[in-house]
Amino acid sequence: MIKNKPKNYIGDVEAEQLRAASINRGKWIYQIVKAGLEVGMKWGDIREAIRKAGAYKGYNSFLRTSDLKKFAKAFATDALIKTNDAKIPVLTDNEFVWEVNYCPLVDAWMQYTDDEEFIAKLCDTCMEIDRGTMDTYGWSLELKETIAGGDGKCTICMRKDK
Amino acid sequence: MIKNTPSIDEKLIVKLREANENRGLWYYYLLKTAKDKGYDIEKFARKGIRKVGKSNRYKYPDTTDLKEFVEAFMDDINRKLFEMELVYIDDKEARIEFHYCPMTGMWTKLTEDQKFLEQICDIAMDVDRGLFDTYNCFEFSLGKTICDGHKTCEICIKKIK
Repeated sequence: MIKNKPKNYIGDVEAEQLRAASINRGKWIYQIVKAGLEVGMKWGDIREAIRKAGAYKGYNSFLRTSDLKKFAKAFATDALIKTNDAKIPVLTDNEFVWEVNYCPLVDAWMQYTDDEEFIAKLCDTCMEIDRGTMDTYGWSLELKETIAGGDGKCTICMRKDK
Repeated sequence: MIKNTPSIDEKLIVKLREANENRGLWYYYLLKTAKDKGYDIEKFARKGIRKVGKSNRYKYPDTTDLKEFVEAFMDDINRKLFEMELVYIDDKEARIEFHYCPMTGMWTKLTEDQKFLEQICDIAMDVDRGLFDTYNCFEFSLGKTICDGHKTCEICIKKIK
């Protein structure tokens, strides 16, 4: 059973607008993916597309660094923390743990379907965005818990020990 | 030559612009990868985006009054995000121009393929076509666009019933 309610920044105009923008992105992703699958696109094709978007972010949206702490600072913008009701429970030289307590993409997808198996698959596919970014640094990503998987939060571990 | 430079620098609008550029990034790679692999993006992406537009109906009023609809369509955030200008309105027709497009803002960082830019722009506009599918009383048309090299995107909404 997916639980996905934000607990913080409720009533914060900026957070609500940013969440609405991300929900909108989630709707576009869902309907493009769904329509693509209907004409025979493979999940692997969709993963490849999103991974390329992630690589673009790695090379263009964040600073190029070998310092994971500096990367974490660039990644965890105030806007993203608010949007995802996120925290950084661990940040060392070798590990950056990003905890997401609200996912606007899952919020969007649940407006279209109650097929939680599909949502979980789409979630893991969309996580190629961060895997694609990690590839550009030569770092790894482990998805320990997910909102889409029913864990109530996403725990994303980014590590330098690849 | 596409000209697409934002002029509003309010903090919230800048952040929302980035969020919408991010939507443009995902959209671009989903369609580009699909096209490169031989899938017909005209066939499937239009269908998908039109569904998004239809599903957005809940955000807009149940009305046959064009001015009331346009007020919702051009709410404060949308007006600033797309730098919308209401160039004409009466009871039967509204003409709106967008002076900035955040999606195009991203796409032009990713490609110079003019034909592909025009194609993905027109497919993206199916989000509005889908919204207008849900209204019997209004007709939507797209004129010149920023992606085509025009200085603005021209939207026309006509009351037909």
